[in-house]
Amino acid sequence: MADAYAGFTDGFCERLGALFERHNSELGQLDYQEASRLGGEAAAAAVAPILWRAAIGETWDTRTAAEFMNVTRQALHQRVRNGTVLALPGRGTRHYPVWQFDADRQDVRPIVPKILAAFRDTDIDDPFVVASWAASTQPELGTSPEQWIASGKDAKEVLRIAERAARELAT
Amino acid sequence: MTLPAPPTDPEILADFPARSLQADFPFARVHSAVQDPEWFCSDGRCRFDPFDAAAAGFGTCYVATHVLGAYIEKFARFERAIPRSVVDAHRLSQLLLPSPVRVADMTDRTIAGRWNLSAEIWAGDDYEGSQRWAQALSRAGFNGICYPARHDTQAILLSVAVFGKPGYQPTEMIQYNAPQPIPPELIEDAARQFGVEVLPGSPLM
Repeated sequence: MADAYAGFTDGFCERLGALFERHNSELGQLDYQEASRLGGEAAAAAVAPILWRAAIGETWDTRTAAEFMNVTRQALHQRVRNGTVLALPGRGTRHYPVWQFDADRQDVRPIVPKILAAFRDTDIDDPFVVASWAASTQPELGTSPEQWIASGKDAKEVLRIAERAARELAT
Repeated sequence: MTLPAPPTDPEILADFPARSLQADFPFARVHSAVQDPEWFCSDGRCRFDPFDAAAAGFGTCYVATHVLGAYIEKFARFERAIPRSVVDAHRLSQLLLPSPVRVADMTDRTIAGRWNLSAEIWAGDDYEGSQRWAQALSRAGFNGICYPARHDTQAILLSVAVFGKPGYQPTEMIQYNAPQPIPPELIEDAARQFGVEVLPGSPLM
């Protein structure tokens, strides 16, 4: 743990020092409070990919998802844009939560576009919202939506809870 | 699980456990940034909305006795990580009642023996059942319902469903503090106490 903490702080300080050397006239104008706030945000941004990875469970990259669905990368991209596949941004690829795929049909489960639409209908289009919600225990289900779906239970129940969660966030 | 139906005769509910809420207490509400905080919901979206809005003639404004309660009730459907975008799309407001009110008290343990109710009414899946009770209690003269925050396992944080005219009612809940972005201290407090981090949607590794 000490190594990781030291790595974060060393990396941050080195990069920040280099940026200040080149842009001191602009960066030096910030007051302490604003700089402290931005520094805190930078810390959250640095650890977020790791914590998200722990929070949302298993994902596939674009190549794996496209091969599984037997579609081109372009076709998969189009389905993401159409809001029928859940994808999270990554570095040089996208990450597709595995729970949304149906092994028998070799496709996305039919309920997934409806779940995405339920959130989108309340102006929530951040894929991290659906991914985090799907990995979280929902009181009505007694488990997470992804586990509920993976165990073959009635997917309509998950849609009902998705609609409720989206509505709650919209009020 | 389905809740028992409330009595149809309002007089039977006259001795339902009650507590008074004072007018000078600042209640907290976390709400969508595009919604006014003084909003009394009647469309059946939320737990203690009226079951039959047309017949009931009231709406419900959901507040908490503590900012942490308001925050955790809004975001607790996210177990480990709340996307930053969601928090940024909400505001924290504090609201006052214009006058003291009498609300039904779901924290009173006698609701189990006398009324056959349990945590199901504030934490269960039967929203219609909770809405029937809200409507019955309103008809019996209660101005709202006080209940434990669903996601607080210590049952210390309290939520209040205040009844009023449906819709935007700035005279029925009065702004004490104007809506403000969710304070970083509140986010940090919730992360420490409930283990839910707010994270930016950074590209995954």
